[in-house]
Amino acid sequence: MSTPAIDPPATAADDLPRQEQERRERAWTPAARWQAIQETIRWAEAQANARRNTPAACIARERRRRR
Amino acid sequence: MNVDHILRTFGDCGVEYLLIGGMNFLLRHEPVLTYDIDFWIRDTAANLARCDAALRKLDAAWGPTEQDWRPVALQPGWLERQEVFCLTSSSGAIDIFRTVKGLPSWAECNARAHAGRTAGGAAYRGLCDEDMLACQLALPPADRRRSRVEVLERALGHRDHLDDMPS
Repeated sequence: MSTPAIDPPATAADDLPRQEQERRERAWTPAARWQAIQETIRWAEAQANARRNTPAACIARERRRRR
Repeated sequence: MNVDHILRTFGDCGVEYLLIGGMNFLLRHEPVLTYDIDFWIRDTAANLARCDAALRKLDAAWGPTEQDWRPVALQPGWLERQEVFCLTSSSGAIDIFRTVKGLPSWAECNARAHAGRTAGGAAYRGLCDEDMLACQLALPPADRRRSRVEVLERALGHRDHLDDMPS
C-alpha cells in the first residue's frame, strides 16, 4: 500500500511573491501604472514579431475582421 | 502607443464613438496586452466627417493594399468605402468599426455605455460589461478570449459560456 502524498503546509515564504506584488501595486499611483502600461504596449509593439502599426499588419487584420 | 492622445483627439473633434475590444477591457478591468485601439463610431455622415478630421490630426494612413497605403488626408470619402478599417497612426494602430456584430444599435449601446477617464485624465466612452460580453459571445467559440469572458462573467455574476471555448 502506498502512502498518499500530502502537500506541505503553506509557509510565509510561499506567500512572499504575492505580498511583494500587492505592495508594489499599492505603491504605484494610477497615473504611473497607466504610463507603464502604455510604455509596455509601445515596447511590445516594437518587437519584430508583434508589429501591428504597419500597413501589412493592418491589411491582414482588416481582412480577418471583415470576414 | 499614446492612448491618451488618441482619446483626446477623438474627444476634441467631437467624434461620437464607443471604445470596444482589448483597450476597453484593459481600462475597465485588468491589463491585457493589446496593440490597437478599437472604436465603434456612430454611422452618420456628420460623424464620419468628425472621425475623418480626428484621424487626419493623428496622421492616420490607410489603403486597400500596401502599395496604395496613404495618409487619409489625401483620400476624400475613404471612410465610406467599407465598414471596418485598420489604420496606422503616429500614436499607434487604430481600428474603426462602422458596424459591430452581435450587438444592438450603436444608439442603444451608447445609452448604457460606461463613461470614464484614463489614469492620464483622458475621457472615454466604452461598451458596458454586458455588451463587451455579448461582443465576445458573437464570435465563433474558437475566436473568443476565454480570459476576458471569465472576467466579464465574474463581474456580471454569471458564467454560462465557458465550456465550449479553448483555454
